[in-house]
Amino acid sequence: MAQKSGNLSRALYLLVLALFIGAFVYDNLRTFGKAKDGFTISNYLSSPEKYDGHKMEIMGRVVNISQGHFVFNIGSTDLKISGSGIKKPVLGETALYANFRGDGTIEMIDYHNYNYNHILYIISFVAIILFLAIFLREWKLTSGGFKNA
Amino acid sequence: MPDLMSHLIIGLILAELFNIKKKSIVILGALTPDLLSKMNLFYLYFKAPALVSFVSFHTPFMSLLLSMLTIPLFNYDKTKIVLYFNLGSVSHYLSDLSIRHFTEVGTRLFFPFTNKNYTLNLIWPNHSIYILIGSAIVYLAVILAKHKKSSKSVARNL
Repeated sequence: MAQKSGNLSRALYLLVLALFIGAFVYDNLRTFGKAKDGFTISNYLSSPEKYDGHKMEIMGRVVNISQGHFVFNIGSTDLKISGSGIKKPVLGETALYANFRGDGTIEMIDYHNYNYNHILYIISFVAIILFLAIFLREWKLTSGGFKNA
Repeated sequence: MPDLMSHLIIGLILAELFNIKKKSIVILGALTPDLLSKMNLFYLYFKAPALVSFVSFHTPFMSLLLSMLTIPLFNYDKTKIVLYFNLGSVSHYLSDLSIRHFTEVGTRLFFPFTNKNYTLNLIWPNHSIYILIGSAIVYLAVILAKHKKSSKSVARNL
């Protein structure tokens, strides 16, 4: 009886694990499928005419600002954005709402500077330390897993 | 989304209100949705190609499965582990509903059944400092109220 219940627990655990991995893979395949033909920055840069009028929010960093346009870095790519009035954020990134035109021009519709976001990252790091302190106060690691401290 | 400290404090508030001894499990549930899904910031800052998406970890469905997968790690009541973890993660998703974006970016509350995003579009992520201050005040108030209550009952027993 105990063995049957042990086997059932193991089977349920494997089912949960399979669902977890399956959902993760499904989401990545869906994203990969969208990336093939759907709107992505690299698909737009290759064929802007296909995505005329697409509007999207992108997160990145304002690299430099010139008359009537600015350069916006989104990690692996620098984009030239048409627009004026943007200011660089203070200790943070920028959320840019842009219109991707068929002629290859990316124009700014609106933006929001995540000012002092880097301070929130530091506060978040402190939160992780605090969590670890609370966790280690409540649990001790043994060969049989975490037990009451 | 609100910063991790806000999520931690909200988790602590819930743990106090429900008199949960293992507060760390509630906090674990409150923090894990962000811990992996923030990998996109790594791609942004290190200019690395985004090979794998971890965004699916930021959904209630995946948090529920993750809570069940953590059961063998703890020598503790299985039901309580799952309940406490999900109490934390539900608080996380409800907090994230307040976050504002230009487009329909939000939380996929019903993934994998639908990929629709939900948000109330109330405050920008960098303004979550106000959530942090508010939740810290509420937490202090809860702790003070509980301390007062336990002092009164000790005095009554004497």
